[in-house]
Amino acid sequence: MPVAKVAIYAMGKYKKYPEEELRQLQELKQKDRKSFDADSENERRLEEIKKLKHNYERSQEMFESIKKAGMTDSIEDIGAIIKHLLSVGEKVEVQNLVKYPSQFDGPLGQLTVLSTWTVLPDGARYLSTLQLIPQKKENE
Amino acid sequence: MTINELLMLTDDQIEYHGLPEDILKELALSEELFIATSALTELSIRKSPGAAAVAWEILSKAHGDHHLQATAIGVLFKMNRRQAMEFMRQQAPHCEADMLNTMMELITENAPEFKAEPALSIARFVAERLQELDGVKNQLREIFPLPAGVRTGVPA
Repeated sequence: MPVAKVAIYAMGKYKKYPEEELRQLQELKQKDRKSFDADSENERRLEEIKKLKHNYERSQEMFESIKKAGMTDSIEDIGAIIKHLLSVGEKVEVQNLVKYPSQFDGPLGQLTVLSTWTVLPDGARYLSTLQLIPQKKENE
Repeated sequence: MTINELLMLTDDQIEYHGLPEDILKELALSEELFIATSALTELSIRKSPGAAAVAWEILSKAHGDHHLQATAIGVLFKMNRRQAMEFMRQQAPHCEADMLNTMMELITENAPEFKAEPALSIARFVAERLQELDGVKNQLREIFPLPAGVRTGVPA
């Protein structure tokens, strides 16, 4: 079980992107394209920071789902999710390795957990991906 | 390292610049969306000829989440502008707010390229739809006013 995928991704702990540098690069590209294009490093860096921004925001959204279900980033709650995933891993068969859906009950609501598993040569299941979907309320 | 071994790692444990393009393409189309976003970006930074095809596959199959799709439209715009414009033209009338915002960010960042037709019409349409969505938001606020002193993160 890659604990970091729960403790980092799902708990909103993906490292924040350099917001000010992103703003400066976007502004330069918009207002002075000639200067921006003169240094190819600008485009490379802009793409790199945008990637960090998307991954950071995805991690934040996952944590929002966790909070909506009434949980926090405490060791206990991380442990509860890992325990849930371990129980899911036991049920996973070769036929349903991709996006295995399960329901996790938090104190304030349910969370749909989509996990993808890899079967190792020794037959063990290993969590490769994790997505969290909060249960929508009726008025949402 | 095999694809499966890489997918067991977290995004920050992978040195993308050292990976061959075939591996990057597979990672970009994987279900591990943090790794997929990074792999697609690496293909784009390398200006890999396969980057546009991977981006198109993500967009045409609505693969992953809105973050991966936002990365994909940026890559497609860089590598195959005509196809990106066509995608925007087709999607703008009915896509969700996340994709509209992504399109608007792309348009703003590349404003000079949207000053002539047919790109200008796409930019206008995207702006109009965002205004419509904002109008719906304002109508909802009138029907369900917030109690005094309560603020939302939505700009007025």
